[in-house]
Amino acid sequence: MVAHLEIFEPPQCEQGKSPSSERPIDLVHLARQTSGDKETETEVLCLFARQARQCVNQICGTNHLTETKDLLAVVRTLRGSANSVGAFSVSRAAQYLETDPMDGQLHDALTDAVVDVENFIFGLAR
Amino acid sequence: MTKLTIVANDGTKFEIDAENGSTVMENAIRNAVPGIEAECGGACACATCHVYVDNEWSETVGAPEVMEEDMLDFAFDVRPTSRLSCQIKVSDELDGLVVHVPERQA
Ligand code: FES
Repeated sequence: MVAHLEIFEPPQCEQGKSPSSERPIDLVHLARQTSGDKETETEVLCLFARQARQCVNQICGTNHLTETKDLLAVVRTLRGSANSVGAFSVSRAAQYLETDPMDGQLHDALTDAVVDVENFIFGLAR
Repeated sequence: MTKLTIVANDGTKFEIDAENGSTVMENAIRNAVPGIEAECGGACACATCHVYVDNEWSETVGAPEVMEEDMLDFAFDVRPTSRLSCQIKVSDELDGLVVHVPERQA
C-alpha cells in the first residue's frame, strides 16, 4: 500500500512556533517545496548535506578561503540553499556570519548548525 | 459512511460519520478534535497527527509504512499502537474504529 499523500488543507499554525520549525530541518516546509514527494525530499536533503559540508570546509576548514569576498559568496550560497530546504538554523547562522565573516564564534555556530543538520539528515536517510 | 470514534485526551468522545477514502486526521480536523494539529496537512512530514489506535483495532488497522515509522520517531510517547492519523484511510473494514489522542503532539 502506498502511503496517503494527498495534502489536506492544514490548520493555521503560528509561524515559527510549530514543532517542525524547531527541528534542524523543517520537514513541513520541505514537503511543501516538493509537493510531498518523499523521494525528492531525500535526494534534496542528501545533496544539501554534501553541499553544506563543502561550504563549511571552505568557510572554516583548514584550507579555508581567505578573501572576504570569496568567503561571503560561499556563505550566501549556503544561506540560500539552507532556506530552500528548510534548514533554518543553518540559514540563520549563515546570515549572522555575513555581518562579520571573520568572527570565529560565528564560524563555530555555523559549523554546529551544519553538524546538527547532517545528523538529522543521516538519521532520516538511514 | 463509516463510524469513527476519536477519544480526546480528556476523555471526550467524538463520534464521527466519516467518508470512506478520507483520512482519520481529516475527520479529526473537520470536527475540531483537540490535540490533533496536523501541521503538514497530511504529507507525513510533521508527526503532529499522532494517535493511538485502540487495542481492539490495531491489528485491522495494521502497522505503519517505513516512511510513517520514520516520522513517528518525532512523535511524543510513541507506543506499539501508535499511528499517524493522516496515514489511516477510512474504509468499510474500519467501521467502528476507535483511536485515542495522546497527551500532546511532538
Ligand atoms: S498531518 Fe503531518 S504527519 Fe500527519
